[in-house]
Amino acid sequence: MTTIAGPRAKRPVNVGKIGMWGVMAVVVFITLFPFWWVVRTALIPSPLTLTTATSLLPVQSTLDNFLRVMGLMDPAKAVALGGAGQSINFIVALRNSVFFALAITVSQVFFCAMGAYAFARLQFPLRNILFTLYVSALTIPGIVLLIPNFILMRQLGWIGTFQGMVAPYLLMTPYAVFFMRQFFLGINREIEEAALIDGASRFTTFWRIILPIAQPQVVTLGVITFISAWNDYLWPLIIGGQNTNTRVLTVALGIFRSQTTYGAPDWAGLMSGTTLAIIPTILVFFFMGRRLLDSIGFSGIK
Amino acid sequence: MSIKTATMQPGYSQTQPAWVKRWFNPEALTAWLFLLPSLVGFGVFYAVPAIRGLTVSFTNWDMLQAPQFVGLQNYARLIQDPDFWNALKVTSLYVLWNIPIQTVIAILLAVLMDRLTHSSILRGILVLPWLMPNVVVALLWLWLMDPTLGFINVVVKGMGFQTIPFLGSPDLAIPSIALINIWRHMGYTALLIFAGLQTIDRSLYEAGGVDGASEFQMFWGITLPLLRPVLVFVLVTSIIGSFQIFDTVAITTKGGPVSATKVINWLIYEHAFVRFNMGYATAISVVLFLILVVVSFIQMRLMRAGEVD
Amino acid sequence: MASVKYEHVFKRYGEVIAVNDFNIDVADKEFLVFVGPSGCGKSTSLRMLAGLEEISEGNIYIGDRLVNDVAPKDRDIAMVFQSYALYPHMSVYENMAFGLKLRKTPKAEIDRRVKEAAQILGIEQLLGRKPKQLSGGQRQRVAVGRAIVREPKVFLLDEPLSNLDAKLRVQTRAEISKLHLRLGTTFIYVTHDQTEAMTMGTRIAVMKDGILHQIDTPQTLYDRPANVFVAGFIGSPAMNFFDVRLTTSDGKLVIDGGSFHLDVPTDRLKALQPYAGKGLVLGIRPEDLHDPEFTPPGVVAGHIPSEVDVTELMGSAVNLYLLSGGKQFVAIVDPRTRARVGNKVDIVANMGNFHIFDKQTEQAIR
Repeated sequence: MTTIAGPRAKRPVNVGKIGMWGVMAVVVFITLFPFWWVVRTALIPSPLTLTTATSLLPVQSTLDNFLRVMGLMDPAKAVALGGAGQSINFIVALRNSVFFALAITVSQVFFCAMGAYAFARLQFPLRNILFTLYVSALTIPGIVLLIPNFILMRQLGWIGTFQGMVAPYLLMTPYAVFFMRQFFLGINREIEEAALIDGASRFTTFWRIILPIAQPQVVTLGVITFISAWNDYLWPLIIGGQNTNTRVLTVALGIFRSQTTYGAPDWAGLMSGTTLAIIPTILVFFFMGRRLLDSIGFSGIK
Repeated sequence: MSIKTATMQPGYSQTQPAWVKRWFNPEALTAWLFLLPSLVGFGVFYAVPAIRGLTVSFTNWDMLQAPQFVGLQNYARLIQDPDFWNALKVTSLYVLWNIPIQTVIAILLAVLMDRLTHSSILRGILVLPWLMPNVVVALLWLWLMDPTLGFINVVVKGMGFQTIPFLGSPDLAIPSIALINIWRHMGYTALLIFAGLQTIDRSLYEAGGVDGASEFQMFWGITLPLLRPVLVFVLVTSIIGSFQIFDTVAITTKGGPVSATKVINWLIYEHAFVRFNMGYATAISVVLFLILVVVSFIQMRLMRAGEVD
Repeated sequence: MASVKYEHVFKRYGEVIAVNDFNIDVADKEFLVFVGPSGCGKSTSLRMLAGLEEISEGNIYIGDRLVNDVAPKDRDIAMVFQSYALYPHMSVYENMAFGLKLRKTPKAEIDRRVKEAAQILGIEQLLGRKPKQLSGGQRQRVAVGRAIVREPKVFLLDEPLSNLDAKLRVQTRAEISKLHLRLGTTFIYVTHDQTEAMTMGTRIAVMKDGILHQIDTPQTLYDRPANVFVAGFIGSPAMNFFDVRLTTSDGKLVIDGGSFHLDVPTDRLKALQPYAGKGLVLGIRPEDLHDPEFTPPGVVAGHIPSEVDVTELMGSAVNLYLLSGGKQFVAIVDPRTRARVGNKVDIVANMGNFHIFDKQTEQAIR
């Protein structure tokens, strides 16, 4: 904490401090409350949503809403409880999201690390130009690339397929290459030279020496990539939205939201779906949060 | 020691012509192998689409028949398209509502965190909204802002005021979306600025304190100027991101009510994936790109202009 | 046969010539030191031998084998790096075993070699630890151990002592010398520290600006430096240099230093006669300058009238910083000396041990 030298009375500072803590408490409340409100709504039986709008705690908690949106409930019963009739199966959507995010994470991190290593350590013609090109791709707004990539998927017949969804992300992202290259540049060259003399090929050096040394960064990048893929909406929508087997969680939520029944939206169901979408992110954050937090400082300020 | 090359392979055989040696020596070959996946990825999903986006914008392709070259027709059309100008206006309005408030809150939060506690639990809590998908955040607030059952209005009505229509009102829709995004980003942005604050030498504050400067004066005189690079970075990236808002609109208002939230990306989306006007949609996206370039440029200039130290 | 040969080796970086026409024959089992100031090309030469740098021109042989295009791993060499370059994520044992594992050496053999090397270096108890748990000196041993297990033809060491504190450095110097004797392998050692070079090498190659100035045994380098640079580089404190003129007086050849005159002894007359009348550089080592009261017997004395500027009491000797004719120079004298700051002393120069260099070419004249 900053210490300010200079004359001051004890009391005014304490009041100030209390005030600051007060503000912080309000901010924390504002940040966390909406999450609570979602969970609370999801736990309240659907027919009671209307009447319990003011209660801060769940009334007559039930897991029915969850069962309903996960497709684990008898359809007739589901409709009776306010379901829209169509089954948006959130379990399947969850599974799809997991596959989608995992596939992209593993693949992208690995290939980008390889590319980054080449940029950081190997000599080849056009190296700098190529890297500048990679980085400049960061400046292009997503939507500019989205439409042509969609057209490409259409032409390949990959609309509605898993490979269509992951294709643009599998091989590289400029950010990932940039991130890893910065780090690789900082590794002591002599370690690689020692490996070379020991008899390692370039690939062996990369796989058995460099990657293990870079493990924290690789994991951090993996977490960032995973979250980014998990949160993706527009691309998975246009490619995989129609097909239940390729519909990811975010898209499923969007479609659920659009299916308003005659009258009020199925808030209970919607909030259950939302809760299901929140849980994985919280889990990832719980286990990997530290890395994420530390990386925010680093990558934000170049 | 002097310049060390990264060369690890000893001299290549003297018998090859020079260009072969340059492009295909063992080290370069290894490099190409390492680069292959990302090169393919870059080429197929970044470079080619970038060019294609441009070329398609010169056609009137609707995905059914073969594309026909129409020159600058799409661009001429968009200049006259009231939808386009509305989209520009609406998006700019959104950015104006979103960024200033978000940035100010973030700065204040960062300073608060710096003074009170560096606890990572607190930082973790603050960054939580940013970790969530946009879709989830949009749904959260859709529910909270609901005119009849939403918590906010329940409280407001309970206090005797009128319901706030939020997303249902043409006038309040954009500010509401801005609110949603501010809620999502303020913590994360605060953390970025917080990290920047850590780089400021504490002894500057001590010197200031000895000189008799008040907290406020030190904030204006020391903190803000030294935070400049961070703030520039934060502002530039937030504004660029803000211009491209989509997910929240797609979930909450879908462009309504009455085009009040028909932001540029939504317009493009509609033309591309609802009406399949690929040519027109890509033309708008190209224009968006140009706008962003100009905006960033102006921003960087303005930021530099005030440079003191 | 583990001899090493550099044959007209050059290393160029664009316009810059980092190694300029390097020719050296290193005999099997020799301990050869490359020494010189920063940027002289010593590390580059070593790395070219290792295969870590490309050879711009010339040939390098290990044994009878031309290794220009041979990959580092196939050259049968091992290297100890300045920063040790240990693999941070592996234990000491794994660090040492890595190279052998890559060559598919049988596990039992790996184990034997690693344990044996660890024993020689006294690091058996560290085998399970990771590098970050070790001290600098311990890490250095592991780096050496990693090289030993490979049982290479040639050992390359790139300034391995630079990162150690002074005391450890002295201790490790002796250990490396002992190791060399024990292993009986060719050692090529790079350092910028002339003390290390002098104490460890069987021969020393003195380099500057990419050029090999002289390669000789330590004693020869000390006694008969080939030029001004080598003369000033080897020996500490450094040799004193004076601009002098060779004059004749009464039929005798005299070294005229302005403020002093030294008679040329008979055994040097023949070599120096042709230079009569010319301007030259005189070199005398501080240890060859004595307090006139405590001159060792048998010294052929010349006199340099001077005034004492600074005295440093070293315990076993006294360093006198003297001024003669405005020129400062250093003498290491008997600790019993009564010379004090401001005193005028007629410093005795041992005329059996002086050096004369050509002013233009800087080469020694013998």
